[in-house]
Amino acid sequence: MSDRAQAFTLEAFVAAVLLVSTLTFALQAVAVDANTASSAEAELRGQHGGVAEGLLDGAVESGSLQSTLLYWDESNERFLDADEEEGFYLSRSPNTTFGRSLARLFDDQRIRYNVDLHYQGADGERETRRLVEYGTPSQDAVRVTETVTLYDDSTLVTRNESRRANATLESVEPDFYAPDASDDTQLYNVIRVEVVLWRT
Amino acid sequence: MADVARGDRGQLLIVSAIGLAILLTALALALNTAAYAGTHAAASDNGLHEQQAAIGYQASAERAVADLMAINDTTESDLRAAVEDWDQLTGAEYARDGAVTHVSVTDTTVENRIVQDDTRNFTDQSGADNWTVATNATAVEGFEMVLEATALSSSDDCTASGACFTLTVEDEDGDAWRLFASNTSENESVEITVETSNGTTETCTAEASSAPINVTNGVFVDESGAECSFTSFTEDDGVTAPYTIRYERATNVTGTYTLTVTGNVVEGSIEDDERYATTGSPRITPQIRAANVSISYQSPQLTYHGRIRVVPGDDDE
Repeated sequence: MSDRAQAFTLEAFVAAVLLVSTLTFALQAVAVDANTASSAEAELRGQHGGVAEGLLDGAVESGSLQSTLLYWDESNERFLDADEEEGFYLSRSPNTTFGRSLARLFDDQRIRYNVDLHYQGADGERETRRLVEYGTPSQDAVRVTETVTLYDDSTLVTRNESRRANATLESVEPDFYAPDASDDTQLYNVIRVEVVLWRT
Repeated sequence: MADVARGDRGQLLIVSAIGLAILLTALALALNTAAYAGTHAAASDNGLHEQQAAIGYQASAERAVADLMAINDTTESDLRAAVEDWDQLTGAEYARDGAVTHVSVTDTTVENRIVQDDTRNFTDQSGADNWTVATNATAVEGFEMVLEATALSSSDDCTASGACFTLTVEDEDGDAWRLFASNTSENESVEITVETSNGTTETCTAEASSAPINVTNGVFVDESGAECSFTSFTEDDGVTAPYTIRYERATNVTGTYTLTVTGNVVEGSIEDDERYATTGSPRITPQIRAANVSISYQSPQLTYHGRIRVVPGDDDE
């Protein structure tokens, strides 16, 4: 009699396991809530990365990225109209075509970004100059990069981004942020532009 | 009683066995989907990113090569040196992202314009009177000269070893086409003799102080404006491209000339080549019309090798 009771108990357990595993399987077939949220977030991040990548591609194609790199005030040795103490743009974009598109795309979307320029310095070491700083990136930040080549006869630009006379990189080299990394050729230096974006 | 207990035990065993089987199957199913979804997501995500990086690298390289080619007076060796430095500078940046990149120029098509527009003798910039104007010229698009009568040799020994100014166009097998210029008359005159690779000679004479010659078309214009045709080296079947074009006894002639040849004519940079300069006479203007570039991008997830042909002005604006 007591054995029968034990069998019924076990049967009940098996039924429970069956129920639970059916439930688990069903839940797995439909995406779980927590999972759904995180993938949407990743997609959003990917989207911003994609937008930034498209922006950089377009800017390098049209030359506006290059002119932003040449938006330089050699007498004060900082970017044109940049913050005096830092030499870069703090919590704002440079007033160039590229800078304005960055601001237009991200400023009212609660997206913050830093723009850094990496290149080979005078001693052959890698150097970094900050162009835009909005703060410290959060953990889910996205990073996009673009390569821009500068030549000996590239010239610094005016406030409306037209080429300045008598201001080739070759002639202003000591006062420009990046040195001539290829002395014997018409190549000046290669700048890696790195944009780091994150949500606030 | 004992019989019933025995039957109960059997039921017990079956039920627990089924339970265990369900449990194990469920566990296997769950783990399997999780592992599969994880790797699948990671792989596709990374692959896409890597492809974008490789495409971006190729676009940057193409842009840089096109820009470097467009810079004035860039010879093939200048381009090679600049691309080598570009490769090294960008390579260091990409290495930080875990990719090994390489770009190099495999070959180029260079069009050179060699011009002497001041009337002077036909020596090179260093003053050499026997010199090679162009080597490995795969094509000669145009070659025109105007010869003045004054400095021409009065010798009638116009042969390869003679005393007259000689223009030689030679191919790789040593077959040569020659043009000699002299002034044997008492008055001012320009006489040219053309010797083709099979030894036949043709002469044209102009009783004038100067005479224009279109070397590629084989046309000589005399004092009355009448044309005297001769066999040009382009029509000489014995002489085939690539050509070597030489001037010999260049002090025995004065005048001007313009010549457009395709080929890698300048040795190194123009500054390193004592025959020409970028100004004065004779000067050379190289223009790289096209370059073949090989590109490779390697990362743990992706290996890409490509060859592209860069033509400046193709992707401008």
